[in-house]
Amino acid sequence: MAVISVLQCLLYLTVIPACLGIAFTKHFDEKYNTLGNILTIGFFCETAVFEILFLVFYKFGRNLTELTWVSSFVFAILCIVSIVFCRKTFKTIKKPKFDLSFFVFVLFTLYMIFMRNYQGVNDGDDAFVLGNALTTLTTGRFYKIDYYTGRIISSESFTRHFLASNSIFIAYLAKVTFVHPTILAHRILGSFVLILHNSIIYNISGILFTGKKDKYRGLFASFVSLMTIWDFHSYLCDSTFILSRTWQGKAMFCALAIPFAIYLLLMIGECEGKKKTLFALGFVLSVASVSMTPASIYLLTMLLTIGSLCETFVLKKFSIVLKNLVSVSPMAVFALLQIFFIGKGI
Amino acid sequence: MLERGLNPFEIIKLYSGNATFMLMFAMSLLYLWCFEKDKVKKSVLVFPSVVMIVLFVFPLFSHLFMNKLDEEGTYYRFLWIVPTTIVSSYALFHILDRFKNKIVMIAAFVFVTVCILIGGVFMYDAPVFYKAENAYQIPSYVIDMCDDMRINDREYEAVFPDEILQYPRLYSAYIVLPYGFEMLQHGVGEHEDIHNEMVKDTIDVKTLSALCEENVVHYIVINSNKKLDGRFEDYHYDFVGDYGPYKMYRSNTLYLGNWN
Repeated sequence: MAVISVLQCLLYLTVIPACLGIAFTKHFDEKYNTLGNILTIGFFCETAVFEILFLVFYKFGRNLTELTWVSSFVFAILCIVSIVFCRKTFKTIKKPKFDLSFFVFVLFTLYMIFMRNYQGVNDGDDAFVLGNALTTLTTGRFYKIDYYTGRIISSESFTRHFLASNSIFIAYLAKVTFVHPTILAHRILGSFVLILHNSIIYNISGILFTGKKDKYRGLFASFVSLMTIWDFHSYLCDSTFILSRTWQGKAMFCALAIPFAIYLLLMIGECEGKKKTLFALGFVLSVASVSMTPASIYLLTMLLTIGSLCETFVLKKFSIVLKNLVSVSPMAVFALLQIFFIGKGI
Repeated sequence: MLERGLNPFEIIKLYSGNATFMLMFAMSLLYLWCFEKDKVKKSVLVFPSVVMIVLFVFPLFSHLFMNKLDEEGTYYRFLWIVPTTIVSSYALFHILDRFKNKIVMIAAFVFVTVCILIGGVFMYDAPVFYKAENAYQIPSYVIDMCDDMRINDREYEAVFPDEILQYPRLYSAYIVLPYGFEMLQHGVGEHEDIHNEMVKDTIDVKTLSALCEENVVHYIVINSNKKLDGRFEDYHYDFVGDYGPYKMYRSNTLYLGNWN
């Protein structure tokens, strides 16, 4: 069983994201076709597709088993299509600059992963995130049982987080990998998110330091890691969320969605032509970030809109802000769902 | 969640802690505003950061989100979208690149790193972390309790002290609680009467046992440091064992067998 669990974890957290991610990086400049980018974008696609499927299944009162079968089928189809059309892109994956500073950065990443596994975290929000995941996995039903107590839900307020499918996604992963949701989240998903977070930071360094300055890439990424590890200035900091409750939606939003949005804005600014894929990626990022936390409806919208407005004024390209509207358009739908259906189920 | 009634400046102060990194970020922004020539980097890293901070403290904006949209407790999240570590790190290497002398450059880098180590606060020393004792990263005595409570294929009710209230349902969904973590988070929930008894310094065993029996609570877990005003054994609850700093009692009147 342990071997099957390992293989399933590899399938759902590396193979599927890789196959989905390559469909996007195929259309990028070759320099952006990195393994980190492929996995990160793929993971956003995976969570975004799952978010939409979950909302549909929730609306029609279906159960976790049905969602699991349909999601896995949809992922399988998407992966096959992606492999058929984009397999050559795997051959052109750009390697990182293997210098001493890169290995220092890898050591920082390994240290974060080690600490994620070595230390537990006393955080009350787990009572919702993992409580809901385990309750959903055990009962197979969405938001029918109070995740805090195990009793039948007595108040509509228990569905206030229904837009964030993060905990249901953990239940789904637990179902397909046969790993207990608490172990899966604390150890496997936590470590995976840290790897993706650091790969986004390294990819950002690839845009910030080009040409002769590329010697600073590893150093920059290591320095960001150093600052993150030494940034427990308060329990409100993004770094605190990233390193302590890594598997929770809010932390995933801080670790993945925000740095990736900055990376996306940098790519949009740097890229000549071929921008359509980037705005489509913004669309996927928007859906994926709502699956992490509903707060992203206004946070990510603000970040992308202010960023694209600044780029528009500085670069004098009005199309950037217009096309950004496509990227953030799902947020309008989610905002309406949140306003009109909060606490009522959908 | 933040306490209510804070203004944006107080939130920034709380968010920044000893302010070392915020100061570094402010200086980095200023430096990049003046010396960064690349328009794209400036338009993504510098200008949006300034706009977001200005918006954050702008009274109309903060009023809209804190009061009208009821985001007072989570308003600090707007600071997440200001890329402090990325901007500070980028500014540092931008500055270092200006040094022609390699020794001066390395010395400056070491100096800043030492400043980070001294001015920063090491994350893994934070009180929220503890050494994981098992793969679940849940205290082992909670797992032992839950294992000893287990009855195959059926649910059972148990009451736990506040400090470990969040753990049992991370381990097993078959454990049903009379009140859950929402009691601590929002101060509301069912069976407030049981909670009120559980949080007393001296527990009235007779009242608590009667309430638990009435609500079909099979197990009672009590912090060993609490004073007991009586013996649970006298009120239909048998002592099961000690689990770390807790004692567990099991009902001898409620049905604990399989349903089938």
